[in-house]
Amino acid sequence: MSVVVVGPIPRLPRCLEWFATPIPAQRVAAWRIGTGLVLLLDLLMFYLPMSKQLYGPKGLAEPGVFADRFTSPKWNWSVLNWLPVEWGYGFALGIWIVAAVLLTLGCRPRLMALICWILSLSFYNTNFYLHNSGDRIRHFLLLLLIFVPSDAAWSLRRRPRTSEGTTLVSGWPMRLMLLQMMLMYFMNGYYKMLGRMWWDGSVMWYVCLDVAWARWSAPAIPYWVYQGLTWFALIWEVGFPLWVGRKPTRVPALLFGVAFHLMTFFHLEIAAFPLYALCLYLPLAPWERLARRKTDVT
Amino acid sequence: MNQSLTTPSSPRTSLLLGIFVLFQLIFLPLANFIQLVPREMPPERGELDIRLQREGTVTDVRLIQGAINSTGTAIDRWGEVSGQPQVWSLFAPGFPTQSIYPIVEGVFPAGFFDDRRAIQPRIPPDPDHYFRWPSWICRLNSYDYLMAAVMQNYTEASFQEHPEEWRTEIAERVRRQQRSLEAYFRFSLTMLQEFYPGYPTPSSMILRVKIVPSPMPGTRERGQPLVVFVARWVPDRPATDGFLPIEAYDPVQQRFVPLAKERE
Repeated sequence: MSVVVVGPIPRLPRCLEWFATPIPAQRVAAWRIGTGLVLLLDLLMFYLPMSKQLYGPKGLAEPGVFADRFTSPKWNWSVLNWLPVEWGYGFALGIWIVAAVLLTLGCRPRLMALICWILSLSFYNTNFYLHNSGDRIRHFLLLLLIFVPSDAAWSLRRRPRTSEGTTLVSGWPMRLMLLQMMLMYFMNGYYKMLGRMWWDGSVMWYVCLDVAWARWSAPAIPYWVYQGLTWFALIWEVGFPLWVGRKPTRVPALLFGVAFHLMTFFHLEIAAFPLYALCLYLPLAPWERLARRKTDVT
Repeated sequence: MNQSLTTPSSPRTSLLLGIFVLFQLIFLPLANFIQLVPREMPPERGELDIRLQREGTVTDVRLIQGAINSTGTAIDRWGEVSGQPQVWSLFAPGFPTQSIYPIVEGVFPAGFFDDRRAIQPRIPPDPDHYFRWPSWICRLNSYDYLMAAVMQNYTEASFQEHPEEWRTEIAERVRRQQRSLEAYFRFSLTMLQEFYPGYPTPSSMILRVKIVPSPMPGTRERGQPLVVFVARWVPDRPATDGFLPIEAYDPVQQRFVPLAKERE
């Protein structure tokens, strides 16, 4: 049985060569499909129904509400600035949706990721107040997909078209995503540790009883449960680099992360933030076993 | 097992990709940890942005401080160009102890008319028994929140203690968010006219913030909700020279005051 490594392997200093060690192509494909699907959901559910009010004439971004973001010394940019406000947002949104569909299917995924990244950043900068940290994760996911042969598995136009045996791709995106996760959670934890409410354990109480953030009224559970949740979340976040660095705690830490983000998606009004965060986990799951099981069945 | 490793890319592609990966490997930790090192930043202007950077100087040695400033600036610019600003502080360092909602109201001869409550019933009548499905207005909620955010920590006790601070705080925020507030008022007016085509244009539109206190830990009783004024916009008023289009509410004088374009 042959092993094929698809796509470029980055040339790195010898001490960092392990960073590009190939991984099964299914992991990258799962990341591409997951990101594409979440993006589509985001576009169809959170942008499209109100696109005119959010980006059109007399909308919440007009006239030039966020113009200062595009002035020196900042280097923010948006292709929407070059299009007429009357139809530019609709045209760009249409292209964005088509590109997200093609990205999900794996049809020229690098080009589609590039288009999605350009439009993602443009819509973000043009109406900054609509967005949150999840959208910055979205930019990161799409930026990396531009450089990755994510069509080496589970794609409409698979490249290489035929390959018997195992297909691998360079593993640098997975490791870069893990680094981003470690930094993201650690910094979140660090800033939380500066606050008194995280130490007295009251944060989850206030989150669950905030009628603007929480989608349903808090159930009558004892206060110590909220305290326990607060402290557990804090320890998990600030210790995340340690938990994933050690084999015995890696899988439980990642599973807790998945459960945490799923819970926040359903419970809190934070749009697609938790779903984009979950996409960071996708390359870490052993999707190749799924492919192997399918091969065994056939 | 017969292994055949294939890497069809050119050495140049591998080199360029290697440079990108290496750059990202340096950028990600540096962008996060440089926030903890004090550096000199240009003053913030325009609409609100997110910034976690500690401001100030870490040393009197200009060469070292200059290097920190320059590194931070380069990191910021790459974050902006690539869409990767590293600003991770969800619910930190604390979480508000009260919920806030903006309410935009049209003022007609017959009195107030609250357009948003009719169109977008987000405020639950009973804050202790409610349920909301995920909906398409999720992103609008972020915008809503930032229109009301100045009142996040407002309480009557705090106002009694620091009336001047609240007056300045509201005026400064309304000044800074002039553009978004004007867009928000126009947007609310458009919605009002679409839903109630027979209504005349209101003489003015007012932004108020409803504040719903959360119960103290371990209890279930909430304090009384509070509604406070923030800003006013007069749709048909011609641009007045020297003044900004949105007026700020002065809680000390209990009236709306125009804000001069140029500070005195």
